[in-house]
Amino acid sequence: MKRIYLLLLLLASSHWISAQQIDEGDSRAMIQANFIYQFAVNSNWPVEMKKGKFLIVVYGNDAVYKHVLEKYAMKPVGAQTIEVQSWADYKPGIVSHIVFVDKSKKADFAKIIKEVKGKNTLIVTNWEGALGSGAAINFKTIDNSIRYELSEAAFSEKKITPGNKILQWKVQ
Amino acid sequence: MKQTFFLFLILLVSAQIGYTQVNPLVAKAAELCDEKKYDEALAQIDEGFKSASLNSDPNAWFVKGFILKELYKQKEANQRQSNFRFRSVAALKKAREFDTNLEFASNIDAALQYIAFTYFNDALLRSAEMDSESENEPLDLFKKFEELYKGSEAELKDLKLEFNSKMAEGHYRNWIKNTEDNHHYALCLEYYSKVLSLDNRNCTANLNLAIVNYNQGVFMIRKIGAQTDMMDLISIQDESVKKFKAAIPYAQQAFASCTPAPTNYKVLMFVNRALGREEEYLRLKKESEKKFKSN
Repeated sequence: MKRIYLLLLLLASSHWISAQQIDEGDSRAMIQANFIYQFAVNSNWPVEMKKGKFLIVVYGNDAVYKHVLEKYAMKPVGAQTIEVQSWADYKPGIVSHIVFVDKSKKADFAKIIKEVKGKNTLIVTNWEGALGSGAAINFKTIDNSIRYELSEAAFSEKKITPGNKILQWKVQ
Repeated sequence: MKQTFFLFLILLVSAQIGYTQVNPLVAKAAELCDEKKYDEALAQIDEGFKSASLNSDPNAWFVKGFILKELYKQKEANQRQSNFRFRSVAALKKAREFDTNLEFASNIDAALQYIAFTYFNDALLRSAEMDSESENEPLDLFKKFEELYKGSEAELKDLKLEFNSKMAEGHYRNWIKNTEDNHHYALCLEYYSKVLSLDNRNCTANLNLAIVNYNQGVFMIRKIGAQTDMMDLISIQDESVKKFKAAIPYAQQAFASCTPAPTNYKVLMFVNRALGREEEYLRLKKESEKKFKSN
């Protein structure tokens, strides 16, 4: 009799759908991508930067690049549309509106700061101490959530004006 | 064949020891059973029940229950609402009620146990197909199983565990069709919690609870886009972090309880990454790559 039960159970089991699959998406990259978009639409660049494409460069982080590209490329920033580029190596001479430098490229940071000196490029980073080294916005983890700190001096130096929403949500 | 043989044995023993006078119609019905002529056997026994003398005869009720059970197997095995099965249970219960000397107890119990498991299997099958409208059907079928089940407590615990796991999977399947609706999400968590209340180290339940909570957090974040306001971004993120935090103890327990596998690593890795514990994420990633290099 027991064998019959087992057979019945086995037959029933063959109908199961597979168990739950984990979503492999990088949620932190998704959030950083949205923040970068928020920085773009909630800041004001000098008039000479309001022509052509609005260029966002993601340096050293494919996941963030992928999410900016997927969700925000071609979206308008004022009259401009967003173009996203992913750089594995820094390309001097290209003027971008935002450069997001991942911590994996921390070693190149001084070179990048030198490269964008005098240009209206907003530097966004994601490691401790980057703000003091010239970044305008730096992502931080607070209570497991991504927040950002902001250097108004760096914004001012780049002649970029942060909007109220950006100022409102910055952390110290 | 084996069961029919038991049926004859019962009839024979009953006649010999003289507890029961075997009604000729009942004997004839048993004979027809041996020839697998169950429709005729049913007609025969029903004819017998027209006489009031059989109404308290456990043997007659058992034969009737047996015939109806065989008819269920033959004609309505795929029907969850099978009338033959329902009537078989009623007849076998009557047999039990009048079997005061426990002459037929083991055979009655075996027949009822068989039927109990058909309800159990139907409950499992229904859980794999259920939707919002039919979500209570597996429960009703499982209740019928529990009412009839006469096995050990240990086996019942395993069966409850299996049922609750499948119910959780069924609700998960419904939830991912529309992750805006938390009804199935909540029920999925509830059923996995029931599994853990039976076995708190259950590997699958812990792993799936980690995945369900984690996925819920990721699904929330996936909804953010160009239309999302800064304030909404912050609040969505905070809500998702609550889900990731809820996932971590289950992911850790699964990691500790389950046989090491890439999935267990992946779940713990991703939950840590989502919580910003990058060092732990990278440590686990490295360890997993080393451990499962050949895969």
